[in-house]
Amino acid sequence: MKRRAGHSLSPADRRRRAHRRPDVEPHFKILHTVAEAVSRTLDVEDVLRTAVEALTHVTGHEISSLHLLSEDRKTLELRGERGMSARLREVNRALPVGAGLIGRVAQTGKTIRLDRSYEDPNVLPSAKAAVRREQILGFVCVPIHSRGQILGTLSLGRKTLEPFDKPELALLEAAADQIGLALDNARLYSESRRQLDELKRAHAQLIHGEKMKAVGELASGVAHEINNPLTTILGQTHLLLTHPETTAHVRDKLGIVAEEAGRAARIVQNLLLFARHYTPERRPCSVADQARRVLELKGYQLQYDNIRVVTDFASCPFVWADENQLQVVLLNLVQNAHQAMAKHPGHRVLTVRVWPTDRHVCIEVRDTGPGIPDEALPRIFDPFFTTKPPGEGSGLGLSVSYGIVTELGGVLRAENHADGGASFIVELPLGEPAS
Amino acid sequence: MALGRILVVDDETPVREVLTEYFATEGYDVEAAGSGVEALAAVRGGRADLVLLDVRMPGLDGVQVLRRIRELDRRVPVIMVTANEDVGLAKETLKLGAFDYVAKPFDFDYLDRAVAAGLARVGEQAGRPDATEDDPWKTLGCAAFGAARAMGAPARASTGERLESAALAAARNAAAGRSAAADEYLAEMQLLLDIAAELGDIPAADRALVESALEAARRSLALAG
Repeated sequence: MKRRAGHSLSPADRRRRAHRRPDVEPHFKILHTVAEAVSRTLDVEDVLRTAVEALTHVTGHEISSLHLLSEDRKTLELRGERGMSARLREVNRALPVGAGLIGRVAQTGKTIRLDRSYEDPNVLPSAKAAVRREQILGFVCVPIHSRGQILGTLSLGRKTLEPFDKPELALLEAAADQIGLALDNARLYSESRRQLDELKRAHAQLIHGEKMKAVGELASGVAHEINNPLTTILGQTHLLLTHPETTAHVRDKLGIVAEEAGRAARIVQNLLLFARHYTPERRPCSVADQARRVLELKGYQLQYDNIRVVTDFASCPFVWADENQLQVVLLNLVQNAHQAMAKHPGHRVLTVRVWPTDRHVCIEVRDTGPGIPDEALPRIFDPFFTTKPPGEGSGLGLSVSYGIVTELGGVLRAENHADGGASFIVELPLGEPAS
Repeated sequence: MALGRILVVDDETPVREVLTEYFATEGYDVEAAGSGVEALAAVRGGRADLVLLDVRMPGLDGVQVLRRIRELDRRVPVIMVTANEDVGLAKETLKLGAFDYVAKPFDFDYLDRAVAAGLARVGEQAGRPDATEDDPWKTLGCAAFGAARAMGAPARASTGERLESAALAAARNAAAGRSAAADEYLAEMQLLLDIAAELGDIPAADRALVESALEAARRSLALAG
């Protein structure tokens, strides 16, 4: 009779009926929801959130919580919950494995079900008051495991006297199994992601290293081929310059030849420096002294281009560096600032600051030029990258500086200022290098 | 009288030519060799007081030639020439017995000093009376180079190199008969010595050695004048 009557029900009626009798069909649905939800994602946090959300639909007045074992397997950490009061959340945040109800499940792997939970002697003393105050009567806790290992626990609490029945328990255990599987997948996935990332990094480093090696070999060959003719050019120029019959006019022209050939030689030298054909000798040195030296060297040119130099050298401890390398870095930065300002209208101020922090000595070289174009910022330290017109920069100065600073264990970075101009900041570590 | 006999070894003709002319103008006797084999023949014939040797050459390269030269003659100073600033290799050659290394293109001031220092040292080692005792200028150069090479790197860069240059310039001017100019360089050397001593850059023994050489040079100038 009932069956026949059922046949005549509209789909809407059938749904209402199913809702009134939640014994069988809804449980399947819940399990399906949990399984579907947790298998959709490979993110651990996502798995936990969707699982807990799906489970609170079992019946009304539910409190659910999900604990996972800590790495040392001594503590259970609350990773997801629904319906918990702040107090209850607090006592459940971290639970010891082996003690209390949830702690026992995590240790034994066996389900615990209670009807009047706050009367149970196994409830943790710290939790007893909260459980009593919240009137949690029914309680069930099942282990979450995967591949024979306990990963955590899934607990439900209920404020009504209605006990958790067998189908509900079966549902919870099945859901816990699904969660275990999903967690395992997520962990495997994140582990392989981590390995993949590591592999990618190693790969990039390898490519970079190979590239540098190739640049080094190329530079060495180019240097040999170019330095020989330059030797002849500079040598002959030198001979003519010291020749008694050379007139002043010719001497002027020869001066230009020598200067330009010298410039070519410096480019080759920078290229070689960049390719690290030079073994630096580190000793304690004063950054401010090197900065002074470089500013002295550039003083005339800066003055010529109407650039005011402002210095602020705070007293600093020595850094372990190669003086020549430090000079190369500072010279490149000052040169860069000079060139940025030389063709830029407005007031021209070069500010060089040196100051100590706890672990570093910092140097800032700041200009009032046009700043660094946004699109150039990420590439500014790349070899051969230059924003200068041809003939004004080889595009190696900053990358050479970057290489040197990095080798010294320091940081070189560039930034633009809101009120115009760019800053290059070098941070050099204090103390003797370990190697 | 020539300042010494230099053997220039380089496989590139233009480089060889310019170095030959340069050192000839400076007052040295120069012989050029275009290969390691030619260079060894010249050393074997005892025709070189100092060898300027290119590292990278076809056939026998500079390092191989250096080894052979060391087998033939332990004294003749060899200055290695590198075109790609391979400092690692250059330092390796120092262990093999090279006297110094210079980079192409040349810093002629440095080249002058290195050559003069090499020749001064060989004179000192040989203990030839004509090299060290009779010529106060060589003694002076030798003392200046010895003192500069014993200094730490920063001191050498600030006072040491100027001391070397002044010694060379003094000798050059004296040889050319310009005794006033030579005297000025001697005075500069004295000043540099005082500065170095004040900064603690030069040991008392080195200073005394240079000062006695300075004294001898002044006497020689007075005699010539």
